[in-house]
Amino acid sequence: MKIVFVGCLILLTAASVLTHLLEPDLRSDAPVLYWVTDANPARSEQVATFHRWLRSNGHPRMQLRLDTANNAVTKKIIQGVSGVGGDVMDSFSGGALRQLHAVGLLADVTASARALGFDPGHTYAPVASEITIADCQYAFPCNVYTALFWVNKATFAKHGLPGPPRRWDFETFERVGKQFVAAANPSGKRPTVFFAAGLDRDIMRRSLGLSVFNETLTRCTLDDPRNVRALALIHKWTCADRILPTASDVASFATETGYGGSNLQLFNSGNYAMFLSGRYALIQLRQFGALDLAVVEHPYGEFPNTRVDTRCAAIYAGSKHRELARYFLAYLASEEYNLHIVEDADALPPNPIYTRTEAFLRPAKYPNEWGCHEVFADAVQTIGIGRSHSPFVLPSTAERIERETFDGFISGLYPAEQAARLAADRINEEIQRALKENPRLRPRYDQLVVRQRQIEQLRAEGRRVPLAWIANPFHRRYYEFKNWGEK
Amino acid sequence: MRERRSTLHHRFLSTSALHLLLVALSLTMVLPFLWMVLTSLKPVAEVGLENWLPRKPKWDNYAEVFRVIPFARFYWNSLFVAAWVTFLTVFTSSLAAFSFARLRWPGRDKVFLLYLSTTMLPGLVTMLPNYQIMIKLGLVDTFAGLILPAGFTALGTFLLRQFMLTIPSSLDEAAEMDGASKWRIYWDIILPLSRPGVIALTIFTFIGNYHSFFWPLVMLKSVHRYTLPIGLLFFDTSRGQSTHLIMAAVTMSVLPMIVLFVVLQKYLVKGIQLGAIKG
Amino acid sequence: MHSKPHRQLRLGLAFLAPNILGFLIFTIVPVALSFALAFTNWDLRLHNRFQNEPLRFIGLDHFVQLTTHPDFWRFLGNTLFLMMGIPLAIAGSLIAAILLSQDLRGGNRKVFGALVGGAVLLASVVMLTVVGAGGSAMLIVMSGLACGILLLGVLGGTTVYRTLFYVPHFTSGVAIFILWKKLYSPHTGPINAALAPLLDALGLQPPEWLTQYHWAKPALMIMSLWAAIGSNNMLLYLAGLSNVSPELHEAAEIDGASAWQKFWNVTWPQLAPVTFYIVVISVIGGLQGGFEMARAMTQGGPAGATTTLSYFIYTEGFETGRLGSASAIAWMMFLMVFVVTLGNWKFGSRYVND
Repeated sequence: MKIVFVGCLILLTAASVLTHLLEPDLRSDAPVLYWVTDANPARSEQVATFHRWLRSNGHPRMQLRLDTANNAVTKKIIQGVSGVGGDVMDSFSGGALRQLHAVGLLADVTASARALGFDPGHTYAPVASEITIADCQYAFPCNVYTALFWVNKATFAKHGLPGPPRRWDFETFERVGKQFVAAANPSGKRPTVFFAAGLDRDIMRRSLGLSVFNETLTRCTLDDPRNVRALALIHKWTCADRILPTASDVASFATETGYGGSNLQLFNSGNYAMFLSGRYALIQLRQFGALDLAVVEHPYGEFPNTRVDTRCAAIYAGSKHRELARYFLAYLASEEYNLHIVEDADALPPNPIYTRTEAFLRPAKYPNEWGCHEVFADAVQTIGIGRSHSPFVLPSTAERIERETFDGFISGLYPAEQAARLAADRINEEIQRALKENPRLRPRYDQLVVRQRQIEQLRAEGRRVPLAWIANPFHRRYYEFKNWGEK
Repeated sequence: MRERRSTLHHRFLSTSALHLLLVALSLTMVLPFLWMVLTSLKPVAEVGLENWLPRKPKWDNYAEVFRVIPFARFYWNSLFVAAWVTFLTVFTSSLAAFSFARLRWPGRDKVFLLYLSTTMLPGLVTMLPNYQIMIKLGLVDTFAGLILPAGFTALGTFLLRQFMLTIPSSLDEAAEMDGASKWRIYWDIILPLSRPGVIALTIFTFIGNYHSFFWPLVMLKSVHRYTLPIGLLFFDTSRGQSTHLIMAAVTMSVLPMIVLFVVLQKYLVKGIQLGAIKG
Repeated sequence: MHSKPHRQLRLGLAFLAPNILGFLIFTIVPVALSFALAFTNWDLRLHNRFQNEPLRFIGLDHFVQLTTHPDFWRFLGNTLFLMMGIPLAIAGSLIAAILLSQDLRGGNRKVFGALVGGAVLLASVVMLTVVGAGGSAMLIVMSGLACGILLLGVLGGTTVYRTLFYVPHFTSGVAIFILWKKLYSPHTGPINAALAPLLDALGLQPPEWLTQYHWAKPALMIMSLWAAIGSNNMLLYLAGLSNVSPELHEAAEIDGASAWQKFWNVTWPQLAPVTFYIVVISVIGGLQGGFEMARAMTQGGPAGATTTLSYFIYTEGFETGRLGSASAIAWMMFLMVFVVTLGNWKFGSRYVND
């Protein structure tokens, strides 16, 4: 027994030494940085290019490693506050970036962005509002995306119809859609061919002049009649006109085609004439061979628009290698990286000048895609607007509530008016809860509420509103469109 | 004579029926494992088919697991952490149990009662502040952070104390007459005599920590420090569609347990029955 | 020279020190902290190395928020719902223990010999028929497995069956939960494949188990039952049954009692302390349980259907960082455990002294 005890102690000590020697960071002579991102296979090549880029530009040596196990926002936050966040962290939306910032996890890179050439001027204008928070820059985009409709021209041709126009309003969408499903489905039977896989509620609402939040981002405005109208339209198109599939239509596809009855496959098979996605859909579409493709915008009510999102990389404020990590952000602005994104079709390159290259517009290997790429680049630059994030409610919470109330509406639990009111009430409740939990937010909130009242008064009197008062990027653009604002 | 034969006959039938019943019950217990092993040997194309058997066993699935995730590292980490925790628990518990069972000091029984009453607290109560403590100590995502909070338990002390109380006190009195120090009595007499208790505690602690899930889940960030349960979960969430590979990994983490159980079941069964009845 | 009790105290504490020091740091201090912090706005997102808000005392706010919010009651409901499987599991363990405690050798050598012979005969006949009739490979494997267990069981007796019963419990953990997740898979899992002919005949849709709101909890309960029948409880019952004095049984037999009467009037009362102990431990475990299953199999879903109190603490504390609020839930949970334990003290002695 005694010998066993002492023996165990010796063995365990030896094992500890061994385990320590197995630490991967010990076996690198350069500083090791971790990049927390998704498990996309393209990431390893991006890391390899980064190391090459460092060498050829004479930048300091470092080892960048992938960490794909901790990509959830909740994990990033908890690990960040615990002092073990990754040196570089990806955010999959400006909303996630704001969550990390709210906890204080992000390093301000405004100064080094100017020095190393990755300030917001090197990317698209609508993205600037995503990567800057309260006038400080915290990230640089890995890529930029906006959802437009991919059109399978062969599907339209098969049913004897011309393809849709590039820009269209709701009425045109409905007319063309009805024509299409009538031509594509035998009458009297359950339809199996649909005009589009789905719509984007946010873009629809925005095209009617409504955002999730008001001008100062202090209140959720989903209880507006324009939201009710958008919901009713989706319901009509899905359940009455049958130009969009219902949930049970989608489910029966899944059983007929076996696993993965996803949008892409149904688009390829002609069951969906169009589906909404970014340029990155090409990564998979290319595997189906040379489809006859076109890209058109989301239909609009009165204000054509599209929403611009970005996956962006930020630097952890607690990183031991904060200085070195900045080179990674500089790399994201470099020609090497941008051309890699152009070629891979992983959405749009962060720097818009590369969307004017021949490699982007007319990739030699894929002539069937010619004419599609520039639609994305143009849309982002002409009608693209960033997301509307309220600093008083977590973006993920607001999105979850909006989705849940929509699901309840579309599955028939309650009418559109109630869904709209419910969404607004619950989000506003969350805003009040956040103010209670975090009293620091209160002074700014009260200030903005006063500002909001001023805006509403000016509008009621039919006078112009200073655009600088408007925090919501959507409203700023909409006010310009309506000529309600002044510089 | 005839009567005797008929009772024999009767007994044979009823015992056979009993065996058939037990076999049926055993099958329910074993079939999931059978499916697990058979699925782990299938090529991708055959996963999910109604036929459980692979057309040709694909042993390479097992090697593939090691290529896809650092499975050997997970094994090592699990063993390493569980071994350290077990050592700490057994050693410190035996010392404390000796103090509670064989030494006489003022306030001993009151301290013991207070000490024991903490076992009533749900583990979650302590885990939340423990996480904060780990942040302060800078031990998040380290092995020390996994091992230390698990290495000092009241339950282990309790088990060993109960066992030490059954050792006749004449033994240490005699040793004390010979001028042995308390340490000698602990080290040379009581500890060796507590062997069965120590073995039971060792097994329980080791198994419990091999399965340990909540604490490693919140503590570990780096994949190369994952223990088996966390590694399996990671594998399942990142490569969930590869059922055949997942099942190979599950088989490899369950198999050592089954072997361990078959080898050690004598001690285990006795330990459970003793510990619980006394508790 | 110190007085004797003083010296004894120092000696006693010296032996206690290694354990008690660690215990203080990792149990006592956290318990005190967690209690104090349940009444504050302690939140990892507000109080960390990057921003240090002053910790505010907010009294019973967390408890009020919890008890007035429907989520807490829903998750408590889920916890209690899953605990409804406990009586079934205990009954299962008892039945398994009773079966195992029977004389598996038939009482004498002749019967045992006949049993072995019979089993070998049965096994070979079954195998020959299955193989001879050109049964599918799967059928051969299944019947081969059954015959193998039978042969082992007849030769090895209780130990063989006990081992097989105990393995699901012993291996139970994330690995087994992942295994069951695959077993429950609606389109490719073997459970629905086995149910398909039956359900088709009845014209029913196969359940989608873990992904359907109303099936998720029953699915977890079925799995827990599978793992719980051969658990420690069965071993405890086995030990309890071996302590039931044979004289009582013989006396009952002489009175002409039926097997059921013997069980109900003799065995069951004798097992009362064991049963009581098992019930208390299971209830305490049940109140704190469900986390691993939920984390590995369902993420607490669908729509919160499998979120138990412990999973709620996890998401509240370690996913959103509200350690104060999570502590409050943990203390509510403790309160329930405490009530059960009090009941144990109050009524436990009555049974044990029987």
